[in-house]
Amino acid sequence: MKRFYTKSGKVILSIICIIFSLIFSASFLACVLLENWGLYSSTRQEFKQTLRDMAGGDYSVWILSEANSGFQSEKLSQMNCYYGVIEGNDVPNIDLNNTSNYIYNNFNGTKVPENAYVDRYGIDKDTHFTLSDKFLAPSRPNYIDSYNYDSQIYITYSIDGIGYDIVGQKAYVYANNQFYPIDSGYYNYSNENSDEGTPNTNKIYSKIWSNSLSSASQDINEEDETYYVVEEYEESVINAEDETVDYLPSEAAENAQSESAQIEEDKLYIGGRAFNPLSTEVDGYSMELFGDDGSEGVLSLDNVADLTDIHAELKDLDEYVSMDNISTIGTYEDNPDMQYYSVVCFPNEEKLSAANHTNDFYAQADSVANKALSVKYVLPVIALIAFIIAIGSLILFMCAAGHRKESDEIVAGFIEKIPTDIALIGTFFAEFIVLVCLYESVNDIGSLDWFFSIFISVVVFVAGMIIGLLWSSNFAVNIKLHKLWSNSILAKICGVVAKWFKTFWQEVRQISATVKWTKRIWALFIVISVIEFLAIFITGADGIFLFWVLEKIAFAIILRRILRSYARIKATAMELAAGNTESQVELNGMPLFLEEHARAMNDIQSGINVALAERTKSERMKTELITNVSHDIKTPLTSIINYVDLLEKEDIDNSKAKEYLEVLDRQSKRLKKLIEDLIEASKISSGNVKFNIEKINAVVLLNQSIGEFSDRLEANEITLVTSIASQDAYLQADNRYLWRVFDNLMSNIVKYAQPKTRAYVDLEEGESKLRFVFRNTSKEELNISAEELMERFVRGDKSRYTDGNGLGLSIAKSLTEAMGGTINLSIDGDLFKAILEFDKVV
Amino acid sequence: MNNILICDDEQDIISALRIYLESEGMNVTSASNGKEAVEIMEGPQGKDMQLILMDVMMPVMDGISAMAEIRKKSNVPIIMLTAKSEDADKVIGLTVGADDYVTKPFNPVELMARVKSQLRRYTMLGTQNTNNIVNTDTITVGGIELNDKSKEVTLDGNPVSLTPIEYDILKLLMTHKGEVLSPRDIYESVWKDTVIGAESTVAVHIRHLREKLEYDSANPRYLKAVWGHGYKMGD
Repeated sequence: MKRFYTKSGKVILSIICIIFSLIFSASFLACVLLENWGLYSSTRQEFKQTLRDMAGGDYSVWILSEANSGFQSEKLSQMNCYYGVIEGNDVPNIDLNNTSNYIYNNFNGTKVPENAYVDRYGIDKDTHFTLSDKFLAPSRPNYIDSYNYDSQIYITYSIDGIGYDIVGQKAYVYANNQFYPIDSGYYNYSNENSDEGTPNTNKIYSKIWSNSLSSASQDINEEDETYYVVEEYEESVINAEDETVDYLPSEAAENAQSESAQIEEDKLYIGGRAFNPLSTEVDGYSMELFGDDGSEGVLSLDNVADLTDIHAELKDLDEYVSMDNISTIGTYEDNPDMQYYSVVCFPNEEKLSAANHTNDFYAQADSVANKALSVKYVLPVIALIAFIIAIGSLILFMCAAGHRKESDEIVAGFIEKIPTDIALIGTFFAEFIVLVCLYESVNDIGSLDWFFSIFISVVVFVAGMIIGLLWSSNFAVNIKLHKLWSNSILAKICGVVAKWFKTFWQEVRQISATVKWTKRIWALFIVISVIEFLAIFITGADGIFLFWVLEKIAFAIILRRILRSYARIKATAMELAAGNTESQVELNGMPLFLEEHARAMNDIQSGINVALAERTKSERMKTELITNVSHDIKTPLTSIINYVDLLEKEDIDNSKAKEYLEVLDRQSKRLKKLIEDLIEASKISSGNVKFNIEKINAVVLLNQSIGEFSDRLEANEITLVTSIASQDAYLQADNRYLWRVFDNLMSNIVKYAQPKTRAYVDLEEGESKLRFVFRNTSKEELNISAEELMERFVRGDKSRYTDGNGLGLSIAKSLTEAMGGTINLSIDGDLFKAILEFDKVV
Repeated sequence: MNNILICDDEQDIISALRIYLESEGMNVTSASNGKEAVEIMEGPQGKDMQLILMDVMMPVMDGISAMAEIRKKSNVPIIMLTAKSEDADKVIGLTVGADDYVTKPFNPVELMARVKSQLRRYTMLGTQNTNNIVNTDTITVGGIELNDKSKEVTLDGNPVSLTPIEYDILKLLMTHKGEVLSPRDIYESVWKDTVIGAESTVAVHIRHLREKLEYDSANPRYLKAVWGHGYKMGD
């Protein structure tokens, strides 16, 4: 499988698929073509005969092409066929073995077999013959090309009479001097219609009848020649029908004619013969006629002849005609301009079995038949195998689509990135064009440029296959990536629409969340609208309805805009109130009166921001001033510390001087500490500190702090009692700054706790918090509030007697809060309590 | 006789430093700004200078620029004296070419120790004394030297007396130089026992060690506390 993941693998698969599809299509087409000739549905003999008949057709073209030379030629005489030509139309009734019927034959006594080829051709002077030595030659088939090759032309006759045979239950018309049966689709003989008929139709037929009446009386009065015409017709009818039983023999007819010299007005005359109107026999019925042009009419039975008397004469007539309209019929007849020949043709079996006439049509037909029969079962098998291989390679191709040799991922290429629906519609359209082209070019294979047509067909087929394969790749990859839907234009359109609706809905919700009365306002709007609608409905003022609807829509849009603008202003005002000074009102799409309001709001906002920026700036400058001054103080302080140190090393006897030096030493060190704290405090409060937040073990930190202070606590005779809830507890902070917080809180205990008392440090573990509690008993009275203690330079005793500068708690508070913790102080009499809280992490 | 250049715009500081250094038998030359220092270093005396103490904030030419200038030609140790204690300032100084830094106001004792440490390193390691005998029993981190055979510890050559526990902790930290060891790790490997609420004991011992081995125990160079994690030996 993986070997097909490469580009070349896929190309090979698609080539296999295309080639085998081609093979399948070609063999399948061949099967269909051969089945046309009866390969599968008839016996071997019948199939061979079909092909021989086709060969006979080819011979006919050759034979007829020699009409001018008496149907003989050098070429024809060499062919291994017997043939004869009969002039005229009526082959079925001619004895084919009677050579006297032929205008030419070369049978030489050979009996015409049952399966001889017999067909009739009409040719005229313009007939063109295409001749070929090849049987079924695709480029030049044997072909007769003449106008009306089929020799029949459509001729219309006006109806000269109409009648109904009650026995045969069939209607007939009389035209062109003969009866024609009418197809039941053209008339309706029934009692459904009024027996009066429609006047117009009756009028037409009355006219027809009166014409035939007058021509019948003319016939009688005119000389014999005209009369003979009628008789000849009668004879021909007798001949054609081969039926003379009930009909008047010619003598009798003569008598009848002579007898009926008097014309009976109440009879209907057809071809000179008188018939009773059908109304004398039948009541209540009528005959409705329908013409092809849509004309129709009901004929009263007064105008329909009763043909029951000549039922025997009519019953075998089968040449149905069409009714062009109710008084005209049309029929196909031989073209009188053409010469008709019937060609009889059959193989000279002796010569044929010699098989040395390869150019001969019968020999070729036999060879084609044999070849076809030999591949009769192979072709479907080939088609089936090719089909399976083609489908198999297509499946493999679809499996490999999207895979790359290097990675296991499915990668969509250019083709696969085409939206699936576009690809589907495009492929559908392209394949439709391909099918049309293929149909045209396959149809053209029979034409002269057969090679070119096959080439075009194959090219079109391959193009269609390539388009199909590209689509299958697109389809397969998108299925594998589960993007069949998402990678379609339809999905994108849906997405855009959904997004639009979502934004709209969000806005609606935002508005209703911000403006309390939104729902009530809309409800009021709807109520008013309904009342107005009812008012319009009741008063019937329909004329203003459309105007009213437009007005309501416009009103709704304006109302929405006002509500939205108001919601924005209100939301911004709320944000400003909550301290978000960045919030501004979006001005676009606001009604003017609210826009002014919004502008004023934005001005307030920028004013606040300017004030804030100025405050921040002055704060920063203050910090910078403190830092710079502190640095400048450090240099002289260095000298002071150094010279105090040098002085201490001098031999000084004066004990007072030594005492003073000690004060200098202590105070200079205190000054140093103060300056360092001052710098730190100003840095922290101005947000100039970068925190490196990490996970810290609170237990370790607490133990480290306690260890650091153990000696100083001992020195001050303070007993530290610790209670640590667990082995390990973690929090998020910058470890060095958190140590500063602990350092300051522990220093406070050392500095301010009453000696010989206990101090407590607890680590409590809550649900989500870690809580450090530092408790000690103050040695001085705490005449100050907890809040004040947190401020800079404030100490519990207010007297500034002990060492310490009052910055410790302030720094601890700033640092703790900056790292996301909280610090709370509480004073209860002399009990001082600091509670430090941080979020617990795992 | 070591030649030392002090560069500071504050005359009193130069005088005080001169007293301290000369009492240790050193020869002091002074400059009042960076430019003078560079000129001295480029002059005939320059080659003999074994250490420079350089203030950062000075008129005419500041200490950073002067150090960068001096470093182009000389690898003499420079100790930076700075009033700024921010990490960023220290980093700039060390990057430009300072070997060490001391923040003002400094402790004279600490400064002297650092001066000596730099001199020792420069004269012994940096020059002819390259064929030092490497003793496998001796662990050295900065100025601390621990001889495991004689169980002796010296700081800048001066013997330091430690309790057995302190010695074990120091040895553990020195052999794991740069690694952060939690109080529990230290307790378990020194006391050979499991801790039950005795972690703060380790902290106490570390503080004692710091008092003995550090000049400024609030800003330790060697025994560093990594708050919330443990302790490590830095250099």
